[in-house]
Amino acid sequence: MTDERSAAPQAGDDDLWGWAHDRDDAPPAQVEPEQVATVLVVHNGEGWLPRTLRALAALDQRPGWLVAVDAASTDGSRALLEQALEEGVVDDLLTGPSSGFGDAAAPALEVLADHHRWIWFLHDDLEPRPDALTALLRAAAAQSRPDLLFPKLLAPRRRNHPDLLLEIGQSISTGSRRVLSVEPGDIDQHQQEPTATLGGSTAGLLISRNAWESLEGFDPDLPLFRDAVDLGWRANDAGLTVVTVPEAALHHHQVGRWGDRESAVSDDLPLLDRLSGQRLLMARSPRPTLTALRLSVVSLLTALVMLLGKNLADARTAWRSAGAVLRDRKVVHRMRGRREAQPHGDESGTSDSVSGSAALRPGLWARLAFLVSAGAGAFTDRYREARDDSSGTSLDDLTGDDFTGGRTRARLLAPTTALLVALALLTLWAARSKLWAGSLTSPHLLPAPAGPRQAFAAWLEPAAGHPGPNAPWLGLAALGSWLTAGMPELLVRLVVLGAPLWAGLTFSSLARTLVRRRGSSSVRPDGWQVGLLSAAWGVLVAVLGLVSRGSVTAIAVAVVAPLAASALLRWFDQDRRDSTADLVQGEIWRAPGLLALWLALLGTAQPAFWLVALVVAVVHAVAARRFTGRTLVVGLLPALLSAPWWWRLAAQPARLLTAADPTAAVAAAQAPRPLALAAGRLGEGAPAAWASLAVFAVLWLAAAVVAAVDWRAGRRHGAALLGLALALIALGGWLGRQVVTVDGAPVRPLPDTWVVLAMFVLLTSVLLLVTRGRNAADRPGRDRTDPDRAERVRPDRDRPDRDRLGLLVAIVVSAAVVAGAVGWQLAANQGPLRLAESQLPAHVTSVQDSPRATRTLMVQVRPSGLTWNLTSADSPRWGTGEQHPAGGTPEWASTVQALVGQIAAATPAGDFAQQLSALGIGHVWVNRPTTEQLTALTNTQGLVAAPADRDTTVFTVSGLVSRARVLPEGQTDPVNLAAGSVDPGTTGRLVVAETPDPRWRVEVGGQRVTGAHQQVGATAFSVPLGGQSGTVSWATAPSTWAGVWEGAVLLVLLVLAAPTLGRQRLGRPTARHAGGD
Amino acid sequence: MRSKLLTLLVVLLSAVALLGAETSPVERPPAAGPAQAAPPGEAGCLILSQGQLMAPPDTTVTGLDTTVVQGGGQAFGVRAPVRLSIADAGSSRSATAALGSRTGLVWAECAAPVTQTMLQLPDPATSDIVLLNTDGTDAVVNLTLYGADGEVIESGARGLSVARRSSRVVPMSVLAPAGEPVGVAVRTSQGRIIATARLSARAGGLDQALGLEPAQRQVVAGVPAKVTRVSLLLTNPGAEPVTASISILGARGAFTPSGQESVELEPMSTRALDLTTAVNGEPAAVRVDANRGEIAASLHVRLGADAALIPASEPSTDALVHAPGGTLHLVNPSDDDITVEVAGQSLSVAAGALVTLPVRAGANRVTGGPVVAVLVSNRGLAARRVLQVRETESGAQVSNDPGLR
Repeated sequence: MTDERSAAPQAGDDDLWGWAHDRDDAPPAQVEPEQVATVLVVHNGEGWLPRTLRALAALDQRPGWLVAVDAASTDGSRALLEQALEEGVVDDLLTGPSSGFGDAAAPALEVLADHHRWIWFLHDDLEPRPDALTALLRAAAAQSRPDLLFPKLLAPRRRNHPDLLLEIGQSISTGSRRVLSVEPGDIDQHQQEPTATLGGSTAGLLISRNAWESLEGFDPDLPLFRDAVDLGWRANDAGLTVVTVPEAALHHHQVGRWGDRESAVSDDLPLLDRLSGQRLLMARSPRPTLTALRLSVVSLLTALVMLLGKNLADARTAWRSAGAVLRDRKVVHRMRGRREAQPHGDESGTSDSVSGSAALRPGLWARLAFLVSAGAGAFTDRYREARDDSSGTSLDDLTGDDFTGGRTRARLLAPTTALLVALALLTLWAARSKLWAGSLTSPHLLPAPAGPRQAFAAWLEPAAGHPGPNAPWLGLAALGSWLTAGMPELLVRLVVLGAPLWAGLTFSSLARTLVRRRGSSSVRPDGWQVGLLSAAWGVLVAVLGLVSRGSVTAIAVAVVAPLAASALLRWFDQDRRDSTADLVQGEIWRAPGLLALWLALLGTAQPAFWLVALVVAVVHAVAARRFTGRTLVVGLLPALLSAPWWWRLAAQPARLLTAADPTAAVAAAQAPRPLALAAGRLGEGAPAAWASLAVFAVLWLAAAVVAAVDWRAGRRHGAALLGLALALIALGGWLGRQVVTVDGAPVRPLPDTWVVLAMFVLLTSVLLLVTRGRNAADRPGRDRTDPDRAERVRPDRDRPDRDRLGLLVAIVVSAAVVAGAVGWQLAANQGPLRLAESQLPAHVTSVQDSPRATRTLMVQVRPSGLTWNLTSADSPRWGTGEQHPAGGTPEWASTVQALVGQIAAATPAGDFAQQLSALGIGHVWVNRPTTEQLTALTNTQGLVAAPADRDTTVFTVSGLVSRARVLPEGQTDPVNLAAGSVDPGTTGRLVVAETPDPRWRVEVGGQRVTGAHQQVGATAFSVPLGGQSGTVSWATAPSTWAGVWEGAVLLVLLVLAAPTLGRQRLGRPTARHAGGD
Repeated sequence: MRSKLLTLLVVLLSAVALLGAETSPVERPPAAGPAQAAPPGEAGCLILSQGQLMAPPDTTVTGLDTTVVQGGGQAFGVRAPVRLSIADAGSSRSATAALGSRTGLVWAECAAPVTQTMLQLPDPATSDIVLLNTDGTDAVVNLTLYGADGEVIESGARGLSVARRSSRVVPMSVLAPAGEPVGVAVRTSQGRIIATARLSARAGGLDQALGLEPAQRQVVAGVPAKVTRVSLLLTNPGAEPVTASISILGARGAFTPSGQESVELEPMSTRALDLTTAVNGEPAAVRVDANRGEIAASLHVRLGADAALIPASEPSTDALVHAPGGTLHLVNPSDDDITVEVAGQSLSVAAGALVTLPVRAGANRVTGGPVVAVLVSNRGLAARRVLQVRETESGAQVSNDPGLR
């Protein structure tokens, strides 16, 4: 080494650049390991202490003194320490109290030698890396002269898995939440830099002795948690340097935080943790009482959120802390006293250091960012869970250079994804003609309401003349319209036209669940078999003609059935497992909650699913030989969700057999034959017969093969599923042959739902065969990896044959799917589903939509007879198919039918127009009348004819008909309200052409009209006018209680079905007993 | 083993259930009901002199001021316009008001109000139009005049208001040129009316006739024997010229009048054709066939001091009239022989021929055919069409279709 200094020009007063040549010849400061006193605190750590001791023995630099303090352990920890002492792993063994970490470490700190300038605190569940101390000491020797150094804490090691970060330093939020500088669970990529920090964990803390003594150690009122945060905070306030050292890594089991250790300090460690954080804040708050109140409120809110998240433990902790924080005054007072006695800032008394501490705590933006990040993270986590993606890796894992473990295969595009994308394209192409303006309707699909307000009105405003609230599926539709930006029509299009895609997606979810459950090595969750069968289900939905028929309830069944089946499988699974270690807290309710949720949603439209839920619950109880609250959840909650609807169903019991809006379609004279149903021929809307036959014949054949193969292998699943499918077809066929009466209207219960379920069962049986693959289930005997075997079975010698058979079945199904897809596309524009505008001319619909709110009588004359319907701005639409389609009651229907009879006979009565006016009918639309009928109507008093087109004439009823009329006092003939409003000074009664019902609420000029309702025949009611004037409006009183009930039960179901909130344990759970590895 | 049997049982039962469903009967929805019984028919009668109204059973007769006219059985004494409410709506066109006066006999047909109709007048100077409004709301009427030389534009023919439950006389002499026949299309822009063409005494005798529907073939019957004059009024309301072929239907069959085989009708014009010579004093009827479009036709007949204005009528298969006794003219305008039943008698009417039959006063029903029937008085000259009884119970099925929207 040359003497650079002698070669350099001498620095003098005249040399302005002399400073550049000055060199500090003092050697760089170094902290020798001999200066480090390591204090290992042990308390009942028998389960993890051996690993810790091994790690200490492997340190590349041994500290000058390593003392273990046994804090009154009652297990085998003492013996382990004594052995370690003998082996020289530890230098000394002391005994300490179990009243907290600081108290336990005190005996060791009292006997420190003078040369021990640094203190290194270790936990008994902490495994330092060999270079941990070296890195800490290197950092301690840095130019910044740090006083407190917090290393990087990692999750416990897992073989063939990357290291996961736990924390590198800590801060604290205004709500006493731990604020970490890293995202727990992230892979350690060694990208962190040392930085200032407020504090951290005592695990691995390296502190200079000077700092320790000046700060007087840990606060005794923080015995276990947040003590190092407090220490670091005080250090920062005192102007000391507190930094993180990411290069120094230690694996921490966090047994104290997870409650794996029995502690003498507290029997509720999470509560103590939370309380410690709150004390920390109150001790430093200028207004501790206010802070205590605020923290109490935050705790209450946290308790509520955790309760909703089914995390009862954390909810209980938060709840208890809400009260405890208000009773902590003495402790806080003591802590404040200690703090005030501490030095703050430098000797000049400035508060730069205090403001420096404040800068190390999260600000407003950081808190907001946390909320957003937590929400987004929770969403993506739940999305991954919903996709059944059990991968524990992150994007970093996929892009990292390191081998992250597990078999990987480079893929441009997973087969499942490719097939589902193809399905999406087919779905879009098939729907291309129905993407334009108009209203999507079919005989089974009524037009959507104009907007969300109308959608909610359809749900909450009960139909006049009918008891109880409306069907609850209307509430789901209304809520769904919110999701589509307040456009119910968009919701309908997405649900109906996108049905094949949604069905394919949910089926793929079920398939992945099955693949993972079976642990098949030859079938991947994203493999072509899964993709093929998923696409097959989507194509099946289309080939059944569900989209072309607009059979919404059946579409819902097709989409939801795989989800329900997945939940059912998981429910059966979790009750058969030996260990529910990962099903803590609310997780055990998830599967039954999901199942109950799906069945409840289906039951809102088709009450038969209540019975399905009950049957499933009973079957589970018998099979699992247990009857728990979860059985009741599945068996009863689906029906309870729709409980307000029972009132209406009691009056219309036939509705129990039908799907949503049953009266939307006239009961057909013929019914499809059950054997035709088995071939997927539901009726109009089905594609060509060859397509149906190609798909469903193959499906039945494949299911029969599955049944035979399973039977031969000693399983009964295939045969049972085949029998179930036959039974469902029989049920659908029989129901379809019946005619029931719903509110006086003849209706055929559609077989669609049962046929869909039957086909789902068949495809699922094929799925079971295809996904069986090669796995450990081939070993004879009881095997946990194949949970569907509950008894010893013979060795499967036919494994290779079954694999080939599964492959053959998959290939044949592929061909059928292709044929079905072709048939689907060819028939995409056929069927009754159409995008239709109203047949009525604009001048009619404008009057309907005006405050006059008139109705229109539509009559169509055909050689076979006359058909008619009564329309208005709010009918037909969602929900009007739940009661008589003509006017809403049979009385309306018979009244209007009599009028149409007069048209048919070309003998309208002299008061024909008055009769129409009394019903609020402002127009009569007649298509293809005979000459006689046309002449008779033209010559009818009070009707003005106007041709609409070559075949249609629209007759306007004279007198500006309005649905609401005024009957002035002393007069006998009501007067129409030309503008739909009452003039000032009008007295008398307001007559409204609606079915009489005491629930009607009438408003005039925004004021509610009180006074007794009087019935005016079966088609109108009247209320007294009390001098109000203005626009008239009326509606039935909303069934708010029904909405509240259904919303509450739905919320309960969602909470049960949702993942449990709260911290997730990272790394391998630590065994409580020795030898756990 | 037990589970095997159970599974097998499930499969078998399901298969049986499927077969059972396949063979179970299909329940049919209830059949749509036929149209219900018609409400009472309505009609109005223009009564301009004293006389007797003969109406179907269960008819309520009220004056325009809603006063119920008392009458016994099916006969009512009337002297002013009346409204009829007829229980049997199908026979609402069968009532007849027999009105006598110094200047002749008038048999007034009662009919339901309409919103449009066509009238024909032989000479505006000697005839006028009476508009009768039997409804409770005002009516507004527009007249379109078709003269000898085409449409007659006259401002006074538009927007004629007829108050509720009242009548209004529209003198044609101020609207159309005298001496030439005129056809009048009557249309309401508001309400309904009963429009009647009325002959004054200067027209050869008092008479009145209701409106008629233009058609491509018109048959006008009711020319009695020994008439003084027969004039055929033809109106072409269309925008294209029409050639009308004329045939006389008599007791010995149809024949074409010499020199009057056809007549050209200009658009929107009316012509009168003298058929006195062609008829030659025999009972007759006139058949007019247009080569295209539709035409209106009626006969202005004079017999001594009396006259009658007889509009065309459609062949019927079941016609009914309540009227005084007279002679029933039965005309077969088709090319096939027909058989009709009247008053218990069965008559054969050869193709294109006319048969007359005396009948008594009261209800006379003509079935069979189809045949054109007109009742002509035995004394004086009054004629009244015997019109088809309308079907009031349609056999058509009427059902609700929720898909109609």
